Amino acid sequence: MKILTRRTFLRVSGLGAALLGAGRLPSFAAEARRRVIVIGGGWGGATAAKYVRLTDPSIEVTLLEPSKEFISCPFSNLVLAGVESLKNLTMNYNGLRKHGVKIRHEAAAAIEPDKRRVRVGKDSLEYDRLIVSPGIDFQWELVEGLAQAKDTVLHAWKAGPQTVQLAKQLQSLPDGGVVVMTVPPVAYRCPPGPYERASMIAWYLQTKKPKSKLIVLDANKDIVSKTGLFKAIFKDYANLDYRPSQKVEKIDVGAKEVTTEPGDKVKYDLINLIPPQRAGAIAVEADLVGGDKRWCEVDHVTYESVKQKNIHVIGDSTIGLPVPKSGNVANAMGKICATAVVSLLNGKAPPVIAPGNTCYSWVNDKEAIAVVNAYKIENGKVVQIEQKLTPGKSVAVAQNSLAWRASIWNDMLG
Amino acid sequence: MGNSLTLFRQEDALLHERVFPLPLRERVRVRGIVSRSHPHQSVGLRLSLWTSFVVIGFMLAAFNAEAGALDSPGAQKALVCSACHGFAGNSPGDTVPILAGINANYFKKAIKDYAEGKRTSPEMEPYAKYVLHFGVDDIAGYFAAQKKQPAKVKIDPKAISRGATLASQCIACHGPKGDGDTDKLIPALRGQAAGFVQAQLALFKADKRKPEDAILEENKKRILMGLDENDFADLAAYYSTLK
Repeated sequence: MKILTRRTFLRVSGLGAALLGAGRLPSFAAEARRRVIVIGGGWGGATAAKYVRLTDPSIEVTLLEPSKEFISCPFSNLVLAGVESLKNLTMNYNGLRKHGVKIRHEAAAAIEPDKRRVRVGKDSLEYDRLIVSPGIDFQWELVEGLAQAKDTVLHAWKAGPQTVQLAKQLQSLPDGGVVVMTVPPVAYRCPPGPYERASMIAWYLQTKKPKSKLIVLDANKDIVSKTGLFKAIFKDYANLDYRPSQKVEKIDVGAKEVTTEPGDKVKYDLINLIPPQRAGAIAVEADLVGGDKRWCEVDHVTYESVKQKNIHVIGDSTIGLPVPKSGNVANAMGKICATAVVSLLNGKAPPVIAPGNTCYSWVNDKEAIAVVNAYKIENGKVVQIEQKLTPGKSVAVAQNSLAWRASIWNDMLG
Repeated sequence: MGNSLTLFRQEDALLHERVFPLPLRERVRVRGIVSRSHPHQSVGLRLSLWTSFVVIGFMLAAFNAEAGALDSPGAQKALVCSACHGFAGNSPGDTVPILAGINANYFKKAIKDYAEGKRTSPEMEPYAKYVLHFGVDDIAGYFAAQKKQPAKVKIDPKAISRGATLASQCIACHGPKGDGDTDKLIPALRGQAAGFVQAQLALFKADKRKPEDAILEENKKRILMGLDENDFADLAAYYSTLK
């Protein structure tokens, strides 16, 4: 007679949980086949994969993410100014494995909605529900001369090798050199990000290259996010020349010059060109994007694509919700979408929950500002309850941002 | 430079971490979620051997479903909170309070105060309104039912011992073990995030946060008058490590 060990007991109870979690009693074989695939292991995808498993461990979750490591875009502007290292923003995916998420470090080659399959290399993986969280891709073709020069003209808008390269370019800039950075037209990833970057570069130049200056060419009519706060901060940087309504049309790397829409020509010694953006390529190829061919429209409660059944889209590649393309929003969408997917797979009504947004921007080596948004659902749509800004920059807000990152990284990957 | 800056000092800290010395990555790692319902695979193979235990399985599953992570309305409504307050309210961040195990009435009062701007926080005001909109009772109940797991943070033993001495003044209201007094809505301090406690003490002293009870207000003023930022850091260190 075998003794009932804790392990076997748990194994059997796991079966019980699987059946009970389903809220009905189908054959075991049918239950075992419930599969969720998540494309993209960023703020949205990693969170969604983990929370599907947390909510219902009987569901098989496969995460497709080519990178072996997660690198946080938030805080990467601090790396440019030398006050943070990329190492501190880099984490592995082992935490998700502990939750039973199967991870394939490969890119999804194609989605076949009719067959409910994702092609990965030579394999075709079947799903019951697919969560697509591909982030953004760049529209190189919208700036003349950029496609040919994209290896040397850095965006550093996906944290990684380009972040380190741009930091090195800044370090080797001669004192007196002119830095030009460009802000793409909305919508783009991280609305306050370009202005945080401008502040951090201005702080760096002020400290290390006092004769240098930074010219910010903004495609938009005004600062897109935390406008009043950034205006006050920009005033304090005498080396920062902010120029609105200056959409970059053309780059000439030979002449070290960019041309903007009004026809201005601006010379640079160092360029950081953040290109116009759209949803990640896989979302465009699977026709999840709307008429603009850029972004994906979704149901505001379940995040199911309005174009394809059983496919959910979360994070920066979505449009139509009054929320910013931020890491915090992607994390919230990941959790809400995960509970919706589990509910739908179990034949239950999905909970009606709205996201929230907590967004910090550092403006020098010690201080930060923040914007916080809370939302509700009204008639099936996400609606803002309130937006609140910090009164100004402060050390305390910067401290809070460090607590935030410790918590949210753990929420995604721990 | 007060003790607040030496509390969490790291040897190889970067520039800003010398100013805000939080051992971040370490804490992200150590504070992985304790999963009570870990994945069970290849369940089917041994099914025939264990059919007699299916009933037990169902009983345990029912228990799991109740204790389990995210099935209750409160858990679902609290989903967005974990970005800052950690899974099940166990914040790994030093300046963000741990909500796991919080007294439900105290939680509700705090939410009301934040929403009305009585306690000022740009972060909490919108989220307090969110909580009120989605259902403060459910969310309060959810956090109250969670087990507190204080973050593992390196804290200077001398600060803890200085804090223990200072804490003799706090016992009358917060109790000998820092458990607070639920009837009077006096919060528990035991195992609370140090940076958060320190910041609240500073707010109380600066009169930016007030207890509503006049006697408590009087006590607070009398005690805090004699304490400075360094004392606050020591007190916070002591309470954060109190088991």
